[in-house]
Amino acid sequence: MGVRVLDYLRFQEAAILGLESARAVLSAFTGRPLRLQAVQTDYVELTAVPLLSGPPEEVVLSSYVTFAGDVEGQLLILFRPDSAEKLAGVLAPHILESVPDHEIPALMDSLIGEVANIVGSSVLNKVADGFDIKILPIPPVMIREMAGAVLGSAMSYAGSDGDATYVAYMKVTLDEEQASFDIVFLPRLGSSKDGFWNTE
Amino acid sequence: MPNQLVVGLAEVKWSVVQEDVLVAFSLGSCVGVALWDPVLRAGALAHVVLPSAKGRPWQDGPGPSREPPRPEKPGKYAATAVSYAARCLTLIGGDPARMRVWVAGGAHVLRGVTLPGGDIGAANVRAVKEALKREGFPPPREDVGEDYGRTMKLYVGEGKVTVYSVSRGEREI
Repeated sequence: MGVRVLDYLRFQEAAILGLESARAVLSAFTGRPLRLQAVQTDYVELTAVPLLSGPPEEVVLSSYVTFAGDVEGQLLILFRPDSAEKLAGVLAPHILESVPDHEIPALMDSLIGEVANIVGSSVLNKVADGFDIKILPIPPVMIREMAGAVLGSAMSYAGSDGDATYVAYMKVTLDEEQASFDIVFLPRLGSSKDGFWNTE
Repeated sequence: MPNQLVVGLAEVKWSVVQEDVLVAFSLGSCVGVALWDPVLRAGALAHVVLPSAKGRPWQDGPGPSREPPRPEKPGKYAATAVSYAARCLTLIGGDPARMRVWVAGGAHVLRGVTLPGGDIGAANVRAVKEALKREGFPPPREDVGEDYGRTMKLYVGEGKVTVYSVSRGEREI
């Protein structure tokens, strides 16, 4: 069972457009130069999904979105703690300095949630446009947990009959500093009405 | 020096090497099932992903039923994982009735999210326990549920299992 090459190429194009769009919006949002350093898309075995964001036991801050519409699935954006700190520092340096230490994690979740909203909606919009389909996301939730546990759980919900999935990675630079995050796009294979994401 | 063997998603591994440690990293809704025979001093560890191959039986009410489109890894589903792990040990003389059994994982780490498929973690735990009972195993020791990820290790030489989580550290179950 494999995914059609055409579907993969369209996904790749849509992901790149979506990530570039996200970069532009984030740059405007932060008022700081933000460059897209690397974009990569891939098609991986489901068994490899828990390892997509590096060591599976490493705690990451994840934005988790499910979507319905013409295709069902999930979008995860995983930020390593150091990248989350850098992004949050850029987004709200004065606020982070003025709040008590115990309030920083909640504030960071909120700030990174905003970044994830921008990135997630940009990618989903471009994928929807690229395939001329309707994608209806529900509001994201933020989860701070082992990367492998989050990805493995999401994979379980992706469907019992799928054996591989699409992923996109994005690395950005903020001024001189690097911040990276991983985007995992998990369509429920075969969930589309018109054959999109179906396997052959 | 322990020799760590990683049991990936949907995999089952077994060992009679006393220095081996079988590890299932970062179980979320997945369930780790460890079997250990005290006479053989041999163990097996399965990394279960889903409760069943047919449709989505963890949902309430009737639903679609279909077989997987091709042969799957034995550890993917609860029943096949337990059966395969048991067979690995019984083929070399193991006896389910005397084995020690541990179950870990089955959490709901996607906190705050209600999915159409329901709580797969809880369904995985139920399916694994049913499969263990069917195969004639004693009741398992367990560390399941809640909302956090776990790493499960089976120490083949000692017949002990530890579970690690970020909030609770590592402990023997």
